[in-house]
Amino acid sequence: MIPPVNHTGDDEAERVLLESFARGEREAFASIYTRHADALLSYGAGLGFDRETLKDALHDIFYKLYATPRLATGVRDVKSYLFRALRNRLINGRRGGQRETSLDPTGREFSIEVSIVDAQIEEEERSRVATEIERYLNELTPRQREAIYLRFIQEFDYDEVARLLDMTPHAARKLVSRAIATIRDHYPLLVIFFRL
Amino acid sequence: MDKRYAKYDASRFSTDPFFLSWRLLDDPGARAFWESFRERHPGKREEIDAAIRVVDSARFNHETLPAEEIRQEVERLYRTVHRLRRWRLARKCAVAASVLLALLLPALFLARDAGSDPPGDLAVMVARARQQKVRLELAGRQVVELERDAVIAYKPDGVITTGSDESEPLAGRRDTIGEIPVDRLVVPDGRRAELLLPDGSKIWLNAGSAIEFPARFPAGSREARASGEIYIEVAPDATRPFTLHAPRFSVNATGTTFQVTAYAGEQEQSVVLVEGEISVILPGELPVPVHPSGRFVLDGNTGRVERVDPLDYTSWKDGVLRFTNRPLRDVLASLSRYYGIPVEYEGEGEERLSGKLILLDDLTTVLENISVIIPSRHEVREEGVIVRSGKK
Repeated sequence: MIPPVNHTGDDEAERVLLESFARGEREAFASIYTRHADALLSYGAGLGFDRETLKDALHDIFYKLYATPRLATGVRDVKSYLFRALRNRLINGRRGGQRETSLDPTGREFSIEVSIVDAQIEEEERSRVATEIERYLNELTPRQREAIYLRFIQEFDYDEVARLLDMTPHAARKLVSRAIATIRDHYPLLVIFFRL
Repeated sequence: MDKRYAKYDASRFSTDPFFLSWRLLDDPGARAFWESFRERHPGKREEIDAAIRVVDSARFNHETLPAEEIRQEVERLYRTVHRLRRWRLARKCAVAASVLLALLLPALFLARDAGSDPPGDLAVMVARARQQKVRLELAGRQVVELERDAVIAYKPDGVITTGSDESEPLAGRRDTIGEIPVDRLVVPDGRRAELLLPDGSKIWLNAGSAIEFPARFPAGSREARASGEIYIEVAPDATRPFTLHAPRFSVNATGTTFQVTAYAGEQEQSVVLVEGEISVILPGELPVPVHPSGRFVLDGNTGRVERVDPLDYTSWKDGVLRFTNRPLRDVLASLSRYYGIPVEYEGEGEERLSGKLILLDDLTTVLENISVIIPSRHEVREEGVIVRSGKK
């Protein structure tokens, strides 16, 4: 009498959740929100926005998703959609000028703040490593940094990185490989290795 | 290179740019070097692995939204959405649900804070169950699968419409003379449907129900066959009595409102009369008259009539489950059907519940509300939910 519950991939689960979300089902809101909030806040922080502004922005993009049912049913990859929506919402909010100036605290420079969470080493060592990794990432241009962040930390594929940064997949690939090359150039020792 | 790195410890590896290019950027050159280095220097492995652990534990723009803040944000979003939804549909039941929701809210929050939140899988399960389609089988012609809350109307002129959009008839006009096709409406667990028959009678089908009915009623009689839980408002027509056949008994009615509960595989099958007059017919026996607020129960082979509050049995159609002194086991069975999710019960079976449960979209909250009334815990498993009563 009771149909069996099929467990398939995470993507399928996300799509199903999104459809229920579009019908206004509360548990689906909570689930999608919980799944993605931290990553979205992290990305938004990199773009230079404070937490309260980001929470408002999340509210707006989820609301838009609900209020436009064809959006919700058309979305294939939920995370990538949310990242794009957040970026547009934040950047357009700035450009449009209808938002208060508080939305524009810094220039558009993608920044990455590093923290080490491995509890097996001491606090002092943790912050030393974090500083060194930040220094390492600061060798990159902001755009390279954002591409690296999206590719390696949020694990988007090149097509998604390209859509987020509004460029072709080929250009996104080049941006990332240039970033890796930039790092090599900044550390002469690496160049020696690559010439061996 | 090897010579230089042979002196390194974990701490120095973890800040070495070349090492970082391997761990953070997956630079193919760096990866090739480090994998081979690790292979060639077994004595360094421990240090290298420690450094890998440290670097891999790096978080970038690390943000965590505490559960409490997530709850607040979800509430806020839900409030905004609810305003839109009410404005969009202005449906009676939506308003009713929100009023009752307000009454239940304090208990809801208590329950949320007390228990640990089960994983989101339950949401996925409910959503999946809801994807099961309501099927309308038009005799000899086609099968129509219906999304969302199905509202099907058979017009006297042979036109069938589904949903609120009456401008789009489903099957075109059917002949109003000649042989009468018999159609079937099947509602899976987790879904509900409303059906308007050509004579003006209105039927609500609860989850896990089916009805077979002629596309138009002939002169002299109106007959339909049903199983599951069916609430019906029979349009008055003294010339054509209405007979609803359940698997183990039939109900004769004229202009009345009643509900039949006759799930296959359940011991108890019943009819509740809301208003009007009905008589229940068992094979080979005299008709049993039932008066308003009467409930005819067929338990095994014996029938009896008791006095009840009909709302206790029929409120599901308005999205509320109301009951007086009902065994927990039965309540859970109703929930299981309503949401289309297996809900298993483990307990002494003695607990009885009185009260009102709002059938929110959110089954977790509904289960938590139950646990406020009687001590019980629920556990979400891959195959369904298990509810255990008692203070364990």
